[in-house]
Amino acid sequence: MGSVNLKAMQKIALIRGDGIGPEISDAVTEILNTACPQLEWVPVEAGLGLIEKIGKGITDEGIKTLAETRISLKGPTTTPVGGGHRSINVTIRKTLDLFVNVRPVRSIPGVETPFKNVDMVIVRENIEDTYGGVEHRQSEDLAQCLRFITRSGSIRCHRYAFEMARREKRKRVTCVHKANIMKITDGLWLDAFREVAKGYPDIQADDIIVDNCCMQMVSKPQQFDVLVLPNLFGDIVSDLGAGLVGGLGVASGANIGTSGAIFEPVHGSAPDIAGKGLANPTAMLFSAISMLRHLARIDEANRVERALLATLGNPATRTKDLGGTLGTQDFKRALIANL
Amino acid sequence: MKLVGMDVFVVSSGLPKVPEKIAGFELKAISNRGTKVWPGATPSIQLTDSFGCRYLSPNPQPLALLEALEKAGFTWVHVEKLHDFGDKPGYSAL
Repeated sequence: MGSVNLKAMQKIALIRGDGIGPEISDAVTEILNTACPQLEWVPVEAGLGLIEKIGKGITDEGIKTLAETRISLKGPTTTPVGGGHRSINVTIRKTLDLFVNVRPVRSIPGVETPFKNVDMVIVRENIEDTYGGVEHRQSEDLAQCLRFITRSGSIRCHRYAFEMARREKRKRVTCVHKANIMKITDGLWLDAFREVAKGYPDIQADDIIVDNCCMQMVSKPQQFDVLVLPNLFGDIVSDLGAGLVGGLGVASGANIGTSGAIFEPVHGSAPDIAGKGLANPTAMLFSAISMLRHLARIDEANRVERALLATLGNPATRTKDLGGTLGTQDFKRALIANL
Repeated sequence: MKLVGMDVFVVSSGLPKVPEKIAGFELKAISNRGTKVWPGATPSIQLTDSFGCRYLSPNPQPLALLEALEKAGFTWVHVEKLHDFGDKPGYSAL
């Protein structure tokens, strides 16, 4: 980030989202305001309410605000199935060219899973692959989807993975692919990885076929440090990673590009529990902690993270989904008390 | 299945200035890796050198379109015919 004036006010676009989005967003912003008073929230409307009103999930003006603010925190938004609505997340990623999705996969105290001491980061290419959504029916029987992989897009994604590894003092980056079958597209992806790796002799670089990667992740996930994947494999494997450490309810993510970044929980808008005060803000708070680190506000990030881990580590202050008794508001109060 | 148009992928170092009307076809959209870059404002994405040009026609003559584009100086590298199946398009929207 270069030199940053940590005493200056920092504008952050806030998309509260829909479903449980507003209640967890309110909890998270209150926690962050307590830990870091320099944050100034710029509200941006997006989600189901807008789709129902104007037929699309975010306005051009909203996109402009995200582009100007450069840093955004986003609650979950609903994409209705069918009806031709493009996902708000996909719209934002493509419009702002947020070319990597970063998903930390780390064991969390108090969140019981079959695996301990997992600590990896999954870096997913965010623009290309089959996510261009260019599909054709060739005949009555056959449909196809075009898979776009470019050398330029692969190189910038791999470079991000290595730079992040160096910044976070990680030791190894593993390229995940299916180049044994998709020899041209994933061959290009893998060649680009090997080329970029030459520029980072201090970091171990290797590769693994995606099916073996999945098997290894559910056998011995502790072996991985940083994984870098093309879009579709990354989508699937990052959810597998979330499952290793407690599921989507605690999984955070960030979409990052050269001109901005959006931090958001991975889970959906859970309309079935919306407005009931039951939602767990943990995933969005982990996303907010990543955002503070991205802004070089390391002390505040560490302070919020310590408070969050202490709150999750105490059975008396967990939310119901993690075996506790607390609702959103009481969890937030317990966490602020731990700050 | 009924032929209604073509996606013609053209190599270009920037947004290609392909004709909006050519060989009985009308240009509806240009995409780059699936992201629409024309009409309207081009999003600030990193562009690759292959652009998908979506041409529709009430009476499509595919070879005439390709010949006309070549004559106009464009290098096409990939083509998909667009068909309707009953009342549903057999191709994704841009």
